[in-house]
Amino acid sequence: MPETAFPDLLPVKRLTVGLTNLCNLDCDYCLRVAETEHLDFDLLSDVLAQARDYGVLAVTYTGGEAILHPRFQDVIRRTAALGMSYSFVTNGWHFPKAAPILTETRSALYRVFFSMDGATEEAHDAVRGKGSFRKIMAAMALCRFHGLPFGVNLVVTRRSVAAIEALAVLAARLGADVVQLMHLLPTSEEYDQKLSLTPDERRAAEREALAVDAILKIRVQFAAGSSTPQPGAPCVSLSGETVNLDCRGRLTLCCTLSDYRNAVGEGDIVADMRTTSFQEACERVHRLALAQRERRDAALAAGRPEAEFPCHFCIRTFDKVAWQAPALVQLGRATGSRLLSASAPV
Amino acid sequence: MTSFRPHPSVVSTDVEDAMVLLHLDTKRYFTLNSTGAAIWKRLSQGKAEDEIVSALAEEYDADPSRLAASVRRLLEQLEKAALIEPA
Repeated sequence: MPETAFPDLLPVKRLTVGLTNLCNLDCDYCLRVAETEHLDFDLLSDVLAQARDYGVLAVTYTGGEAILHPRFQDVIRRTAALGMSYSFVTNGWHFPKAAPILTETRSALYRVFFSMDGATEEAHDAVRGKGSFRKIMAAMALCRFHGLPFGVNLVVTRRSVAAIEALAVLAARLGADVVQLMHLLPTSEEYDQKLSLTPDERRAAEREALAVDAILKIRVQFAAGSSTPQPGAPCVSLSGETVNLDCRGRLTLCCTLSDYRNAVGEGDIVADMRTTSFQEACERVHRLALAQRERRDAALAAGRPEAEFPCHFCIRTFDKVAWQAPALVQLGRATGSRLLSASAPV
Repeated sequence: MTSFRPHPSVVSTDVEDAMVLLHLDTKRYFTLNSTGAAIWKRLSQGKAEDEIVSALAEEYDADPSRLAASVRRLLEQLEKAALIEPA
């Protein structure tokens, strides 16, 4: 396994992959661009092989709805054949057609993550549409039947924050082994005002998660973007451990910043994998991660409150939420695959 | 003869030649074998008990009286677990 050239960073161990930005649902807070871009299978296959040789052990597939990638089964089969473990995120609607390949490759499956928006049918379907709760419950039943490990993801918003405990209890009773929480990252002023928690409310939600985690046997934790355990601790991306491949075939710093709805900046994109080796691309990510850590440490030292929450800091400094700066006109993003500047944001 | 229907809080999903049920109120999972799944599907279609027996007797070329007893036993089990309710 290659050593990282940067002593302050960890070797790359995990790859997140935006398989597609196509989704059958239309959740109002979703941070992804809603398009129909599928990651080219041959390119992915080549990147996976390079990543395995570079020391990557695990791959997490996201979307969009990952199962809607036209070659989802081939993707899973290829990942398992390379000896890497995999996980993926799903809304559950199309899970039955994925179940056979998951059982076929069960030794490589780390976990299925089901995205939920509440502990009740009413709360979940209010965001995801009628029938969504029953679809995701049926998908969990399939996991249970086949003995496939699964967890639950919840984006913590003004709407869902009160449901952390109830969702954890529901997930535990259904046989999930983890609940992963993420703070909402806003994509427009309207949803920011409607759904975002204040920093104090975010801290309270993190304390609630810690309390529930201490009581229940199921793990309940903020996956990324929280201020705990300490504000300056680097996340998996800024520690160098995880890099992201987007559905346009580009290596980027982090899956959260990737294909961000209404974004202007693309400074988190470091390489087109059609023309760059995985090793070279990872070294660029590591340089960017170090620069971003220095930027964040400086912001923390200056007492800038947004630096406390790492994802909120990155979406601002990488110009994903330029609409928050009143002097800027919201431009949206280019929809093509053209590689924009790979330099670090100013 | 009483007709039954799936309890509204039950989610069902096909798996190979069987079926998995999840009761959303009790959070309990159940599995039905292929015959049980065939009965469940007909309950979901609104079929009465005698209609289910007739249909399965024809489909499986089975003795109707033995089949009727099997269907009755399963309906009793399903009702006891609150997986079905009177239609």
